[in-house]
Amino acid sequence: MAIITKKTALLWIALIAGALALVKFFWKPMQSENITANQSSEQQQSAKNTVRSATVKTRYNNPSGSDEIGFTLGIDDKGTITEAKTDVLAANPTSKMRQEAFAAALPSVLVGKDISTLKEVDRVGGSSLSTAAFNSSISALKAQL
Amino acid sequence: MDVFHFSGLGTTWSISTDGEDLRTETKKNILSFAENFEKRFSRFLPESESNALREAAAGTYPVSPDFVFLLQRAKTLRELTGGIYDPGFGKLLEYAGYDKEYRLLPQAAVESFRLPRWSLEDQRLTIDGPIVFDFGGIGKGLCIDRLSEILAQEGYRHFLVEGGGDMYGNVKLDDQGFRIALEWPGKPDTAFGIINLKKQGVAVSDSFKRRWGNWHHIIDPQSKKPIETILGCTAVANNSFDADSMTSGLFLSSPEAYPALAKAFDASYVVFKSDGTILVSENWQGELF
Repeated sequence: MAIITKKTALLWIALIAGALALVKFFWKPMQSENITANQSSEQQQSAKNTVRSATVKTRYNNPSGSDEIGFTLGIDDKGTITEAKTDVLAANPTSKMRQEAFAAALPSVLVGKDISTLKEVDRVGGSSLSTAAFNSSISALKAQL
Repeated sequence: MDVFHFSGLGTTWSISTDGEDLRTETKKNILSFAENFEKRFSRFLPESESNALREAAAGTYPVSPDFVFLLQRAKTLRELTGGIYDPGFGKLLEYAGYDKEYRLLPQAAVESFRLPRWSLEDQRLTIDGPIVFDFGGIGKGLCIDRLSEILAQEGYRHFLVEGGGDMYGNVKLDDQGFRIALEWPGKPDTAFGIINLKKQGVAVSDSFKRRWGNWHHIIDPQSKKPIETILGCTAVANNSFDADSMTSGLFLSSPEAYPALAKAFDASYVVFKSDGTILVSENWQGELF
């Protein structure tokens, strides 16, 4: 995950909420979960400072049978989440596509900040300035009414 | 930082330079390129290539290399969005009221609109009848990239080209990227994050702007209804053309298509869905609040 900030607690909650939402929205939960945690396993040490990771696999029903999906979370020695990953385990193409979409973009919790309080910003990216011609015609239109 | 402002393509533009002043000659080149770009591609201008086939009969027509370039990208987007992105829907926008006079009054013709078919082969365009093109944000993205190329050719290095809130940032004098605050869709005073833009383009799109009646400018040409499942989205890619292609794709597809879009345009993204969910791509780089 690219997001490594103090907001990771929120991300954690968002991830779980997202996972639950996925399961709840598409299918009803079915069987038990297997949770495995490994201490500083070798394959987890790459790139990030992950010292502990946990993997959850769960199974759920869908309209055409049932599917398995996995979630992996890694934390560093300060307890910050370094990795949050969805393991795509579905076999049928539709489920696989949905799981891949879920893995590619995680539901996140953002609250935003007042732009005027941000320091050292070179420019604001946004569409509020993109509509000069349109907005002036709206004003012209209103003036005619 | 020095900022040069101008108007073009129905919006406001700015070029920021860090430690380098834009020469008068460069400003002239920038202005004439932008003006010419609009003349060639804007649906609102009668002599543009987008309007050239407004009354045309079915057949095969030659088009300019730049128009081919736009059509090729449009073809990719059309495939990736299952046909929801289609630049041949220009007349539908007009019928809905988003015409060059900005009448903003939907007409009955909306109901009878049929999406014209087009295909591209060997730099030639085949159509099945009259067609008006509107490429949406990707046209602006291409213009941003072309202006950036002009600046690079003229020897500038530390610049940021912005067109209506979308931009390409090269590199700052201290070799860092430009720090760009990202506007929360529909809340111009609020940022949802900050990115460091270095040799990258960023596109920001939302459905709050350009609204009239029950309409806004992002429309599904098949259902003939504006898209209401997404409030806004932001994408970062290696240039503005790709970033704008990504936001168009995100708006006009379902989450199942996002991984393929992100791969096609090598992009990262944030999507604000209407149900309140915010999706952040796993490759997103930058601060989020």
